[in-house]
Amino acid sequence: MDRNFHSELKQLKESIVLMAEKAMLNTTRAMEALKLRDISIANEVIEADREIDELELLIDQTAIRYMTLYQPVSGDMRLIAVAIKTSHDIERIGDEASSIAKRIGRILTAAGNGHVLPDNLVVIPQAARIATDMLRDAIEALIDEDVEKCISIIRQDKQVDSMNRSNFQGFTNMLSEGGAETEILLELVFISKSIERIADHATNIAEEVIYLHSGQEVRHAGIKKGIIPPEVTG
Amino acid sequence: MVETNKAATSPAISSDSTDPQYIQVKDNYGFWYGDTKVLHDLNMDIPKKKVTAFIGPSGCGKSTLLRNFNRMNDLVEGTHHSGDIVIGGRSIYDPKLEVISLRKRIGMVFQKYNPFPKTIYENIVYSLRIAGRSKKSHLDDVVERSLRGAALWDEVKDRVHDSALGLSGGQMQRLCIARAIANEPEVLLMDEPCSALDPIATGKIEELIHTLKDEYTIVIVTHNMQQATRVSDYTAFFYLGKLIEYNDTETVFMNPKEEQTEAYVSGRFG
Repeated sequence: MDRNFHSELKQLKESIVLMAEKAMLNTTRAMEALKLRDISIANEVIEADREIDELELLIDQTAIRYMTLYQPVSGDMRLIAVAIKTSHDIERIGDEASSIAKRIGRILTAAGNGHVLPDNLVVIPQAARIATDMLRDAIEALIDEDVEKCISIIRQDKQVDSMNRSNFQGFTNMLSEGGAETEILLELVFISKSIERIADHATNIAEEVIYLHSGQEVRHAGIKKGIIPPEVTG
Repeated sequence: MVETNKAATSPAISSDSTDPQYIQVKDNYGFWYGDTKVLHDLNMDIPKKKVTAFIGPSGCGKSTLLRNFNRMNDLVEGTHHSGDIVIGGRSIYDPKLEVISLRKRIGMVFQKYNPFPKTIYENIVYSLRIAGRSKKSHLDDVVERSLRGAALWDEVKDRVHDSALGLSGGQMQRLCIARAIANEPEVLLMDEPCSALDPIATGKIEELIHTLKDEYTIVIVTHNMQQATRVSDYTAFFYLGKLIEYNDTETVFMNPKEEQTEAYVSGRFG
Protein backbone atom coordinates (compact mmCIF):
# COMPACT_ATOMS: atom_id res chain seq x y z
CA MET A 1 0.00 0.00 0.00
CA ASP A 2 1.50 3.31 -1.09
CA ARG A 3 0.84 6.07 1.43
CA ASN A 4 -0.03 9.60 0.33
CA PHE A 5 3.37 10.90 1.42
CA HIS A 6 5.27 8.44 -0.82
CA SER A 7 4.59 10.79 -3.73
CA GLU A 8 7.09 13.18 -2.10
CA LEU A 9 9.87 10.63 -2.77
CA LYS A 10 8.97 10.73 -6.44
CA GLN A 11 9.23 14.52 -6.36
CA LEU A 12 12.62 14.19 -4.69
CA LYS A 13 13.85 11.99 -7.55
CA GLU A 14 12.45 14.46 -10.08
CA SER A 15 14.36 17.29 -8.41
CA ILE A 16 17.60 15.28 -8.65
CA VAL A 17 16.99 14.64 -12.36
CA LEU A 18 16.29 18.33 -12.96
CA MET A 19 19.39 19.36 -11.03
CA ALA A 20 21.56 16.89 -12.98
CA GLU A 21 20.13 18.10 -16.29
CA LYS A 22 21.09 21.66 -15.39
CA ALA A 23 24.61 20.58 -14.38
CA MET A 24 25.04 18.65 -17.65
CA LEU A 25 23.74 21.59 -19.66
CA ASN A 26 26.11 24.01 -17.92
CA THR A 27 29.10 21.78 -18.62
CA THR A 28 28.10 21.36 -22.27
CA ARG A 29 27.43 25.09 -22.66
CA ALA A 30 30.87 25.90 -21.18
CA MET A 31 32.39 23.71 -23.89
CA GLU A 32 30.30 25.54 -26.50
CA ALA A 33 31.69 28.83 -25.21
CA LEU A 34 35.19 27.52 -25.83
CA LYS A 35 34.36 26.11 -29.27
CA LEU A 36 32.48 29.19 -30.48
CA ARG A 37 34.83 31.58 -28.67
CA ASP A 38 31.73 33.20 -27.20
CA ILE A 39 32.28 34.78 -23.80
CA SER A 40 28.56 35.54 -23.37
CA ILE A 41 27.81 31.80 -23.20
CA ALA A 42 30.46 31.43 -20.48
CA ASN A 43 28.78 34.20 -18.50
CA GLU A 44 25.39 32.51 -18.85
CA VAL A 45 26.85 29.33 -17.39
CA ILE A 46 28.23 31.21 -14.39
CA GLU A 47 24.85 32.85 -13.82
CA ALA A 48 22.90 29.59 -14.20
CA ASP A 49 24.85 27.91 -11.40
CA ARG A 50 22.57 29.63 -8.90
CA GLU A 51 19.64 27.48 -10.06
CA ILE A 52 21.64 24.35 -9.24
CA ASP A 53 22.49 25.71 -5.78
CA GLU A 54 18.82 26.41 -5.15
CA LEU A 55 17.86 22.88 -6.12
CA GLU A 56 20.45 21.48 -3.71
CA LEU A 57 18.82 23.45 -0.90
CA LEU A 58 15.36 22.28 -1.98
CA ILE A 59 16.45 18.63 -2.02
CA ASP A 60 18.08 18.92 1.40
CA GLN A 61 14.99 20.58 2.85
CA THR A 62 12.66 18.02 1.30
CA ALA A 63 14.80 15.14 2.58
CA ILE A 64 15.02 16.51 6.12
CA ARG A 65 11.31 17.24 6.13
CA TYR A 66 10.53 13.71 4.95
CA MET A 67 12.76 12.16 7.62
CA THR A 68 11.19 14.28 10.34
CA LEU A 69 7.59 13.76 9.35
CA TYR A 70 7.48 10.24 7.96
CA GLN A 71 10.33 8.31 9.59
CA PRO A 72 11.41 6.41 6.46
CA VAL A 73 13.09 3.01 6.75
CA SER A 74 14.77 0.55 4.39
CA GLY A 75 14.77 1.58 0.70
CA ASP A 76 12.96 4.85 1.43
CA MET A 77 15.66 5.83 3.95
CA ARG A 78 18.43 4.84 1.53
CA LEU A 79 16.81 7.03 -1.14
CA ILE A 80 16.76 9.98 1.26
CA ALA A 81 20.41 9.50 2.21
CA VAL A 82 21.41 9.08 -1.44
CA ALA A 83 19.37 12.14 -2.47
CA ILE A 84 21.27 14.33 -0.01
CA LYS A 85 24.66 12.99 -1.10
CA THR A 86 23.85 12.98 -4.81
CA SER A 87 22.56 16.53 -4.74
CA HIS A 88 25.83 17.57 -3.10
CA ASP A 89 27.82 15.83 -5.86
CA ILE A 90 25.70 17.52 -8.54
CA GLU A 91 26.13 20.88 -6.84
CA ARG A 92 29.90 20.35 -6.97
CA ILE A 93 29.60 19.46 -10.67
CA GLY A 94 27.74 22.75 -11.16
CA ASP A 95 30.57 24.57 -9.37
CA GLU A 96 33.15 22.88 -11.60
CA ALA A 97 31.15 23.90 -14.70
CA SER A 98 31.02 27.44 -13.39
CA SER A 99 34.75 27.39 -12.68
CA ILE A 100 35.42 26.07 -16.20
CA ALA A 101 33.27 28.89 -17.64
CA LYS A 102 35.21 31.51 -15.68
CA ARG A 103 38.50 30.11 -16.93
CA ILE A 104 37.20 30.00 -20.51
CA GLY A 105 36.16 33.62 -20.11
CA ARG A 106 39.72 34.51 -19.11
CA ILE A 107 41.14 32.44 -22.00
CA LEU A 108 38.85 34.14 -24.52
CA THR A 109 39.72 37.55 -23.13
CA ALA A 110 43.41 36.71 -23.53
CA ALA A 111 42.76 35.46 -27.08
CA GLY A 112 40.89 38.68 -27.83
CA ASN A 113 43.99 40.56 -26.78
CA GLY A 114 45.99 38.79 -29.47
CA HIS A 115 47.38 35.89 -27.42
CA VAL A 116 47.75 32.59 -29.22
CA LEU A 117 45.47 29.67 -28.33
CA PRO A 118 46.82 26.14 -28.60
CA ASP A 119 45.53 24.15 -31.60
CA ASN A 120 44.71 20.89 -29.78
CA LEU A 121 41.86 22.29 -27.69
CA VAL A 122 39.60 19.48 -28.88
CA VAL A 123 40.88 17.18 -26.10
CA ILE A 124 39.00 19.30 -23.54
CA PRO A 125 35.47 18.89 -25.00
CA GLN A 126 36.17 15.20 -25.61
CA ALA A 127 36.86 14.63 -21.92
CA ALA A 128 33.91 16.82 -20.95
CA ARG A 129 31.55 14.79 -23.13
CA ILE A 130 32.60 11.55 -21.44
CA ALA A 131 32.18 13.15 -17.99
CA THR A 132 28.69 14.49 -18.76
CA ASP A 133 27.72 11.13 -20.29
CA MET A 134 28.79 9.50 -17.03
CA LEU A 135 26.57 11.88 -15.07
CA ARG A 136 23.63 11.23 -17.42
CA ASP A 137 24.14 7.46 -17.09
CA ALA A 138 24.36 7.71 -13.28
CA ILE A 139 21.05 9.57 -13.11
CA GLU A 140 19.44 7.09 -15.52
CA ALA A 141 20.73 4.27 -13.31
CA LEU A 142 19.13 5.99 -10.33
CA ILE A 143 15.76 6.07 -12.08
CA ASP A 144 16.04 2.66 -13.78
CA GLU A 145 17.56 0.95 -10.72
CA ASP A 146 20.39 -0.23 -12.97
CA VAL A 147 23.38 -1.41 -10.93
CA GLU A 148 25.19 -2.80 -14.01
CA LYS A 149 25.22 0.64 -15.59
CA CYS A 150 26.79 2.02 -12.41
CA ILE A 151 29.67 -0.43 -12.66
CA SER A 152 30.25 0.70 -16.23
CA ILE A 153 30.35 4.34 -15.05
CA ILE A 154 32.96 3.52 -12.42
CA ARG A 155 35.00 1.87 -15.18
CA GLN A 156 34.80 5.01 -17.36
CA ASP A 157 36.25 7.19 -14.62
CA LYS A 158 39.65 5.69 -15.32
CA GLN A 159 39.42 6.87 -18.90
CA VAL A 160 38.80 10.48 -17.82
CA ASP A 161 41.62 10.25 -15.28
CA SER A 162 43.91 9.11 -18.04
CA MET A 163 42.79 11.90 -20.39
CA ASN A 164 43.46 14.44 -17.65
CA ARG A 165 46.98 13.10 -17.13
CA SER A 166 47.57 13.21 -20.87
CA ASN A 167 46.22 16.78 -21.09
CA PHE A 168 48.43 17.83 -18.22
CA GLN A 169 51.43 16.37 -19.98
CA GLY A 170 50.47 17.96 -23.29
CA PHE A 171 49.91 21.43 -21.85
CA THR A 172 53.06 21.40 -19.72
CA ASN A 173 55.07 20.30 -22.76
CA MET A 174 53.64 23.28 -24.65
CA LEU A 175 54.57 25.48 -21.72
CA SER A 176 58.20 24.44 -21.97
CA GLU A 177 58.09 24.78 -25.77
CA GLY A 178 56.50 28.21 -25.60
CA GLY A 179 53.62 27.09 -27.87
CA ALA A 180 51.09 29.40 -26.21
CA GLU A 181 50.74 31.93 -23.44
CA THR A 182 51.51 30.59 -19.95
CA GLU A 183 48.30 31.98 -18.49
CA ILE A 184 46.17 30.26 -21.12
CA LEU A 185 47.94 26.93 -20.70
CA LEU A 186 47.55 27.04 -16.93
CA GLU A 187 43.83 27.76 -17.29
CA LEU A 188 43.56 24.74 -19.59
CA VAL A 189 45.33 22.52 -17.06
CA PHE A 190 42.80 23.56 -14.43
CA ILE A 191 39.87 23.10 -16.83
CA SER A 192 41.07 19.57 -17.55
CA LYS A 193 41.27 18.94 -13.81
CA SER A 194 37.73 20.29 -13.33
CA ILE A 195 36.44 17.85 -15.96
CA GLU A 196 38.24 15.04 -14.18
CA ARG A 197 36.49 16.12 -10.96
CA ILE A 198 33.11 16.11 -12.73
CA ALA A 199 33.76 12.48 -13.67
CA ASP A 200 34.74 11.75 -10.05
CA HIS A 201 31.43 13.17 -8.83
CA ALA A 202 29.52 11.15 -11.45
CA THR A 203 31.38 8.10 -10.17
CA ASN A 204 30.37 8.96 -6.59
CA ILE A 205 26.75 9.13 -7.72
CA ALA A 206 27.07 5.74 -9.43
CA GLU A 207 28.42 4.28 -6.18
CA GLU A 208 25.57 5.86 -4.23
CA VAL A 209 23.06 4.40 -6.70
CA ILE A 210 24.54 0.93 -6.18
CA TYR A 211 23.99 1.43 -2.45
CA LEU A 212 20.46 2.65 -3.07
CA HIS A 213 19.41 -0.32 -5.14
CA SER A 214 21.43 -3.12 -3.59
CA GLY A 215 22.01 -1.87 -0.04
CA GLN A 216 25.71 -2.66 -0.61
CA GLU A 217 28.45 -0.14 0.11
CA VAL A 218 31.05 -0.05 -2.66
CA ARG A 219 32.75 3.26 -2.04
CA HIS A 220 35.92 2.04 -0.41
CA ALA A 221 35.77 -1.72 -0.11
CA GLY A 222 33.55 -2.77 -2.99
CA ILE A 223 36.24 -4.82 -4.64
CA LYS A 224 36.91 -6.83 -1.49
CA LYS A 225 33.26 -7.74 -1.22
CA GLY A 226 33.25 -8.83 -4.84
CA ILE A 227 30.59 -6.32 -5.83
CA ILE A 228 32.80 -4.53 -8.32
CA PRO A 229 35.06 -6.52 -10.66
CA PRO A 230 38.75 -6.07 -9.71
CA GLU A 231 39.67 -4.52 -13.06
CA VAL A 232 37.33 -1.62 -12.34
CA THR A 233 38.86 -0.50 -9.09
CA GLY A 234 42.33 -2.01 -9.54
CA MET B 1 10.45 18.70 34.38
CA VAL B 2 10.26 21.53 31.94
CA GLU B 3 8.57 24.68 33.20
CA THR B 4 5.27 25.70 31.73
CA ASN B 5 5.22 28.62 29.38
CA LYS B 6 3.22 31.65 30.37
CA ALA B 7 2.86 32.97 26.84
CA ALA B 8 1.48 29.75 25.55
CA THR B 9 -1.95 30.71 24.40
CA SER B 10 -1.18 32.83 21.40
CA PRO B 11 -1.14 30.31 18.60
CA ALA B 12 0.81 31.41 15.59
CA ILE B 13 -1.82 29.90 13.34
CA SER B 14 -4.44 32.48 14.22
CA SER B 15 -2.38 35.20 12.63
CA ASP B 16 -0.29 33.32 10.04
CA SER B 17 -2.67 30.81 8.50
CA THR B 18 -4.63 31.72 5.43
CA ASP B 19 -6.94 28.72 5.86
CA PRO B 20 -10.50 29.65 6.78
CA GLN B 21 -11.17 29.03 10.46
CA TYR B 22 -14.01 26.81 11.55
CA ILE B 23 -13.66 26.09 15.25
CA GLN B 24 -12.79 28.98 17.51
CA VAL B 25 -11.80 28.44 21.11
CA LYS B 26 -11.95 31.94 22.51
CA ASP B 27 -12.19 34.40 25.38
CA ASN B 28 -9.50 32.61 27.39
CA TYR B 29 -11.51 29.41 27.46
CA GLY B 30 -11.26 27.50 30.74
CA PHE B 31 -12.81 24.26 31.93
CA TRP B 32 -13.25 22.69 35.35
CA TYR B 33 -14.06 19.25 36.70
CA GLY B 34 -15.56 20.34 40.01
CA ASP B 35 -12.94 22.58 41.63
CA THR B 36 -10.14 21.35 39.45
CA LYS B 37 -9.32 23.58 36.52
CA VAL B 38 -8.10 21.37 33.68
CA LEU B 39 -8.02 23.80 30.76
CA HIS B 40 -6.47 27.25 31.09
CA ASP B 41 -6.90 30.42 29.06
CA LEU B 42 -7.20 28.78 25.66
CA ASN B 43 -7.54 30.77 22.46
CA MET B 44 -7.18 28.92 19.20
CA ASP B 45 -8.69 28.84 15.73
CA ILE B 46 -8.99 25.48 13.98
CA PRO B 47 -9.11 25.62 10.20
CA LYS B 48 -11.84 24.23 8.01
CA LYS B 49 -11.28 21.01 6.05
CA LYS B 50 -7.85 20.43 7.52
CA VAL B 51 -6.56 17.88 9.98
CA THR B 52 -5.51 19.35 13.30
CA ALA B 53 -3.73 17.09 15.78
CA PHE B 54 -3.75 17.58 19.54
CA ILE B 55 -0.64 16.15 21.18
CA GLY B 56 0.71 16.19 24.71
CA PRO B 57 1.34 13.92 27.68
CA SER B 58 -1.50 12.20 29.52
CA GLY B 59 -3.54 14.63 31.56
CA CYS B 60 -2.61 17.65 29.43
CA GLY B 61 -6.26 18.33 28.58
CA LYS B 62 -6.22 17.47 24.88
CA SER B 63 -9.01 14.87 25.12
CA THR B 64 -11.03 17.11 27.44
CA LEU B 65 -10.95 19.92 24.91
CA LEU B 66 -11.83 17.53 22.08
CA ARG B 67 -14.80 16.17 24.03
CA ASN B 68 -15.98 19.68 24.78
CA PHE B 69 -16.37 20.39 21.06
CA ASN B 70 -19.52 18.28 20.99
CA ARG B 71 -20.24 18.76 24.68
CA MET B 72 -19.58 15.17 25.62
CA ASN B 73 -18.34 16.43 28.98
CA ASP B 74 -21.86 17.60 29.78
CA LEU B 75 -22.34 13.99 30.85
CA VAL B 76 -19.79 14.46 33.65
CA GLU B 77 -21.15 15.86 36.92
CA GLY B 78 -19.87 19.19 38.22
CA THR B 79 -18.21 20.52 35.10
CA HIS B 80 -18.26 24.15 34.11
CA HIS B 81 -16.44 26.46 31.75
CA SER B 82 -15.44 30.04 31.08
CA GLY B 83 -15.01 31.65 27.68
CA ASP B 84 -16.58 30.21 24.56
CA ILE B 85 -16.24 27.72 21.73
CA VAL B 86 -17.73 28.71 18.39
CA ILE B 87 -18.14 26.11 15.66
CA GLY B 88 -19.32 27.11 12.21
CA GLY B 89 -20.17 30.57 13.46
CA ARG B 90 -22.35 29.47 16.37
CA SER B 91 -21.48 29.09 20.04
CA ILE B 92 -21.78 25.51 21.23
CA TYR B 93 -23.00 26.95 24.54
CA ASP B 94 -25.85 28.89 22.93
CA PRO B 95 -28.82 28.17 25.24
CA LYS B 96 -31.06 27.79 22.20
CA LEU B 97 -28.81 25.10 20.73
CA GLU B 98 -29.94 21.52 21.16
CA VAL B 99 -27.02 19.31 22.12
CA ILE B 100 -28.41 16.50 19.94
CA SER B 101 -28.26 18.72 16.86
CA LEU B 102 -24.73 19.80 17.82
CA ARG B 103 -23.62 16.18 17.97
CA LYS B 104 -25.13 15.55 14.55
CA ARG B 105 -22.93 18.31 13.20
CA ILE B 106 -19.90 17.03 15.02
CA GLY B 107 -19.21 13.33 14.65
CA MET B 108 -16.89 11.47 16.97
CA VAL B 109 -14.74 8.37 16.69
CA PHE B 110 -13.32 6.86 19.83
CA GLN B 111 -10.14 5.06 20.81
CA LYS B 112 -11.80 1.68 21.06
CA TYR B 113 -14.04 0.86 18.15
CA ASN B 114 -17.57 0.53 19.45
CA PRO B 115 -19.98 -0.78 16.82
CA PHE B 116 -23.47 -1.61 18.00
CA PRO B 117 -24.19 -5.36 18.21
CA LYS B 118 -26.18 -5.09 14.99
CA THR B 119 -25.56 -5.59 11.32
CA ILE B 120 -23.13 -3.39 9.41
CA TYR B 121 -26.13 -1.82 7.68
CA GLU B 122 -28.03 -1.09 10.90
CA ASN B 123 -24.96 0.43 12.52
CA ILE B 124 -24.85 3.06 9.83
CA VAL B 125 -28.56 3.84 9.62
CA TYR B 126 -29.17 3.70 13.37
CA SER B 127 -29.31 7.42 13.94
CA LEU B 128 -31.35 7.95 10.77
CA ARG B 129 -33.96 5.47 11.96
CA ILE B 130 -34.13 7.26 15.31
CA ALA B 131 -34.69 10.48 13.38
CA GLY B 132 -37.61 8.79 11.60
CA ARG B 133 -35.93 8.22 8.24
CA SER B 134 -37.02 4.80 7.04
CA LYS B 135 -37.27 4.93 3.26
CA LYS B 136 -35.21 1.96 2.13
CA SER B 137 -33.74 3.51 -1.00
CA HIS B 138 -32.54 6.50 1.03
CA LEU B 139 -31.04 4.30 3.73
CA ASP B 140 -29.35 2.12 1.09
CA ASP B 141 -27.81 5.23 -0.44
CA VAL B 142 -26.55 6.45 2.91
CA VAL B 143 -25.03 3.04 3.71
CA GLU B 144 -23.17 2.87 0.42
CA ARG B 145 -22.04 6.50 0.55
CA SER B 146 -20.85 6.17 4.14
CA LEU B 147 -19.05 2.88 3.59
CA ARG B 148 -17.40 4.21 0.47
CA GLY B 149 -16.43 7.37 2.37
CA ALA B 150 -14.85 5.21 5.05
CA ALA B 151 -13.00 3.08 2.45
CA LEU B 152 -14.87 -0.01 3.62
CA TRP B 153 -17.44 -0.56 0.87
CA ASP B 154 -15.35 -2.86 -1.31
CA GLU B 155 -14.55 -5.09 1.64
CA VAL B 156 -18.09 -5.49 2.99
CA LYS B 157 -20.54 -4.71 0.17
CA ASP B 158 -21.57 -8.37 -0.06
CA ARG B 159 -22.22 -8.74 3.63
CA VAL B 160 -23.71 -5.50 4.89
CA HIS B 161 -26.46 -7.47 6.58
CA ASP B 162 -23.96 -9.56 8.56
CA SER B 163 -23.11 -8.69 12.13
CA ALA B 164 -20.67 -5.82 12.53
CA LEU B 165 -19.00 -7.80 15.29
CA GLY B 166 -17.58 -10.20 12.69
CA LEU B 167 -15.36 -7.49 11.22
CA SER B 168 -11.67 -7.10 12.02
CA GLY B 169 -10.60 -4.35 14.43
CA GLY B 170 -9.53 -2.04 11.62
CA GLN B 171 -12.77 -2.66 9.75
CA MET B 172 -14.83 -1.99 12.91
CA GLN B 173 -13.05 1.31 13.37
CA ARG B 174 -13.73 2.26 9.75
CA LEU B 175 -17.36 1.22 10.31
CA CYS B 176 -17.46 3.65 13.23
CA ILE B 177 -16.11 6.35 10.91
CA ALA B 178 -18.78 5.38 8.35
CA ARG B 179 -21.41 5.64 11.09
CA ALA B 180 -20.10 9.07 12.05
CA ILE B 181 -20.17 10.41 8.49
CA ALA B 182 -23.65 8.96 7.80
CA ASN B 183 -25.03 12.11 9.42
CA GLU B 184 -22.94 14.28 7.10
CA PRO B 185 -21.28 16.12 9.97
CA GLU B 186 -19.20 19.25 9.51
CA VAL B 187 -16.54 18.16 11.96
CA LEU B 188 -15.04 14.77 12.77
CA LEU B 189 -13.45 14.38 16.19
CA MET B 190 -11.11 11.44 16.61
CA ASP B 191 -9.84 10.42 20.02
CA GLU B 192 -6.85 8.12 19.55
CA PRO B 193 -8.59 6.34 16.67
CA CYS B 194 -5.71 3.96 15.91
CA SER B 195 -4.34 3.09 19.32
CA ALA B 196 -6.09 -0.30 19.35
CA LEU B 197 -5.13 -1.20 15.78
CA ASP B 198 -2.20 -2.98 14.14
CA PRO B 199 0.13 -1.04 11.81
CA ILE B 200 -1.66 -2.08 8.60
CA ALA B 201 -5.10 -1.11 9.93
CA THR B 202 -3.54 2.08 11.29
CA GLY B 203 -2.15 2.86 7.83
CA LYS B 204 -5.60 2.41 6.30
CA ILE B 205 -7.24 4.70 8.85
CA GLU B 206 -4.53 7.31 8.37
CA GLU B 207 -4.98 7.22 4.60
CA LEU B 208 -8.71 7.51 5.17
CA ILE B 209 -8.19 10.59 7.35
CA HIS B 210 -6.11 12.09 4.55
CA THR B 211 -9.03 11.56 2.16
CA LEU B 212 -11.75 12.68 4.58
CA LYS B 213 -10.28 16.12 5.05
CA ASP B 214 -11.55 17.01 1.58
CA GLU B 215 -15.03 16.94 3.12
CA TYR B 216 -14.65 17.41 6.85
CA THR B 217 -12.83 19.47 9.42
CA ILE B 218 -10.96 16.87 11.45
CA VAL B 219 -9.48 17.13 14.93
CA ILE B 220 -7.50 14.14 16.13
CA VAL B 221 -6.07 13.45 19.56
CA THR B 222 -3.06 11.18 19.43
CA HIS B 223 -0.26 10.00 21.69
CA ASN B 224 1.56 8.83 18.63
CA MET B 225 3.64 11.74 17.42
CA GLN B 226 4.54 9.96 14.21
CA GLN B 227 0.85 9.69 13.52
CA ALA B 228 0.45 13.42 14.04
CA THR B 229 3.25 14.07 11.53
CA ARG B 230 1.76 11.67 9.01
CA VAL B 231 -1.85 12.82 9.07
CA SER B 232 -2.14 16.36 10.31
CA ASP B 233 -1.79 19.77 8.70
CA TYR B 234 -1.64 21.58 12.03
CA THR B 235 -0.51 20.44 15.46
CA ALA B 236 -1.35 21.81 18.88
CA PHE B 237 0.85 20.82 21.82
CA PHE B 238 -0.81 20.93 25.24
CA TYR B 239 0.78 20.66 28.64
CA LEU B 240 -0.93 20.90 32.01
CA GLY B 241 -4.10 22.22 30.43
CA LYS B 242 -2.34 24.98 28.53
CA LEU B 243 -1.76 25.39 24.85
CA ILE B 244 2.01 25.56 24.61
CA GLU B 245 2.44 25.74 20.86
CA TYR B 246 0.14 25.63 17.87
CA ASN B 247 1.39 25.85 14.34
CA ASP B 248 1.57 23.97 11.07
CA THR B 249 2.74 20.42 11.72
CA GLU B 250 5.98 20.85 9.82
CA THR B 251 7.03 23.75 12.05
CA VAL B 252 6.02 22.02 15.28
CA PHE B 253 8.11 18.96 14.47
CA MET B 254 10.98 20.49 12.52
CA ASN B 255 11.51 23.81 14.16
CA PRO B 256 9.27 24.33 17.20
CA LYS B 257 9.31 27.77 18.76
CA GLU B 258 8.95 26.64 22.37
CA GLU B 259 11.53 24.66 24.32
CA GLN B 260 8.83 22.53 25.89
CA THR B 261 7.56 21.49 22.47
CA GLU B 262 11.09 20.64 21.34
CA ALA B 263 11.58 18.55 24.47
CA TYR B 264 8.29 16.71 23.99
CA VAL B 265 8.53 15.95 20.28
CA SER B 266 12.13 14.78 20.62
CA GLY B 267 11.27 12.48 23.54
CA ARG B 268 13.26 14.44 26.14
CA PHE B 269 10.28 15.40 28.24
CA GLY B 270 10.16 14.95 32.00
